[in-house]
Amino acid sequence: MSGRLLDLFKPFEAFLPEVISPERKVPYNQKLIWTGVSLLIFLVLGQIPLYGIVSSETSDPLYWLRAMLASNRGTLMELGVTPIITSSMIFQFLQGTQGIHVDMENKHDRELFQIAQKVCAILLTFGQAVVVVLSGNYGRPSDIGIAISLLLIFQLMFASFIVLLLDELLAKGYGLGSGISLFTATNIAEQIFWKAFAPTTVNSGRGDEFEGAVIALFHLLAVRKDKKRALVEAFYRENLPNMFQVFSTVAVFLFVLYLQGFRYELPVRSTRTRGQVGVYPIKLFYTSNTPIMLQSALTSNVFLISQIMYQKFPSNPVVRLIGVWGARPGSPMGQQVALSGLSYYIQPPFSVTDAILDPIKTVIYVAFVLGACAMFSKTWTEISGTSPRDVAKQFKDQGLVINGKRESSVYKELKKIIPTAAAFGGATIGALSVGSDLLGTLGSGTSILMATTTIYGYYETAAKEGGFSKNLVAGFSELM
Amino acid sequence: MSTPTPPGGQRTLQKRRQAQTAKDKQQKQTPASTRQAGFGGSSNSVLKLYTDEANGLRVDPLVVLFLAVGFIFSVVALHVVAKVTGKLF
Repeated sequence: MSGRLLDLFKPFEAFLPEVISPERKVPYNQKLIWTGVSLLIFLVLGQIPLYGIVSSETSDPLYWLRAMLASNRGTLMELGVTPIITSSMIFQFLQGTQGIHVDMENKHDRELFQIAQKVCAILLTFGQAVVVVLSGNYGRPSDIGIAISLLLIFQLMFASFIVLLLDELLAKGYGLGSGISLFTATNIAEQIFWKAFAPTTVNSGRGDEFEGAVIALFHLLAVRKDKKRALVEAFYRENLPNMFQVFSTVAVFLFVLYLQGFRYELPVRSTRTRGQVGVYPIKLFYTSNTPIMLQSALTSNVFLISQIMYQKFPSNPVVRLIGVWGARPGSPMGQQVALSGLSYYIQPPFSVTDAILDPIKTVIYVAFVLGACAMFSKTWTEISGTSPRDVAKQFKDQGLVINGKRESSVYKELKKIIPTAAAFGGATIGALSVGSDLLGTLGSGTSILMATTTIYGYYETAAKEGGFSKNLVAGFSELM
Repeated sequence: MSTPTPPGGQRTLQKRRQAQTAKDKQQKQTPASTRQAGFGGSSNSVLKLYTDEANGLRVDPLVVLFLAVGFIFSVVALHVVAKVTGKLF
């Protein structure tokens, strides 16, 4: 029965456009160019406003999801990579929990699985576009008119379709790796750079101030008479990004890079080819940024639901228990934040003072993030096929054994290492995220971690492809 | 004293067979797991992508680029047309 579910998607096979795989290996330089061009297109899509918007001055309901889903409000990238990620997650969980049976050895099954993912992504795009337009995000549908509404839906759908194709193009071997993670990382990096170098000015009663931290530093140093006070203000201003945040961002970035190098190297040898030895690295970040992504997806969804419910039923006791929302004094654009209730406790503190003022909240928040990340990380190894059992099976298939150990004890050894590495790595990445939130980095801790891990992954791939000269890699890895 | 082995014969056949099987193996191998896709012992991201060829409507990567650029230009053109008509009438 469950095998039938996949066969439902068979008729779509002929209609779905699909990028041709490269016939031979694409040279490294060409890969770089393809990656750059696709990235450029994605970024341009993220800056062009949609045609036909009347107003977008309401509080943004998807504020917490924006960074993770590489979407910009009111632009062609309103949906970002949401539909693609959602559909791929749905199908992976279905597969992981044996909800649909896919035989990954069978080429035909794999094809159908891919087609099903794509069809689901397109359907989700359509659904989300309709919901976004009809829910009055861009002005009331009756004000916009039916033609413009349809045009808006079409624009959103086509933009997401292009992102789907671009991602496929990059993943098929023209680019260096997955497009989705690249787009997300770029979006985050863009926001960080904007906060550091924004040329826009804000007037809060004391004359024009630059929004960008670095630009503000030079401006204040040049304009103010009292250089010492100017320096202090550039470093500690509360309302806008400051230099201290820039430095803490750089520090977190470097620290995560340093931690990326932590690995347990399992000496392995081949039983098929005698004398062939090697190492099987088990990284501290065994599941990379997955736990933090899942954790932030979970909290964002709780926030979203809680916020919507609070808007509808502000006086319901259960709804108030889940979260009470309101604007924080001095926050930009009247963005809503949780003021009490469950959502308040899983919302990151805004600064160190915030954390000290309510220590109970801080403790609960830290425990929640660390626990959730460790748990997600452990669960993810089971689902994604990197659990000790799966790895032991891989070893057996490839004829590898651990050096100095019996063949039968591979699983036992792996079982000692992998779950610990996964849980501890998850907790570490959660702690990093909490730490950077407390330090007040530019952008949330989650987004910085995601950007860093993605960029590091790309760097590793590039080094493996032989893009850098050997010297640089060796020197760099010694530094690490 | 060793004479160079004459070309052909058993050894060459063996070599050819080995090269052929290696080639076949490489072609058949698709990254069904993140490890085979080159991510070491760790799963790299949430997304697992299968880079197989399905026989659907096949598109050249350049077509995708032109499609994207065309779309961007058409949206910009819509904006410009709306602005210009607003100014003129």
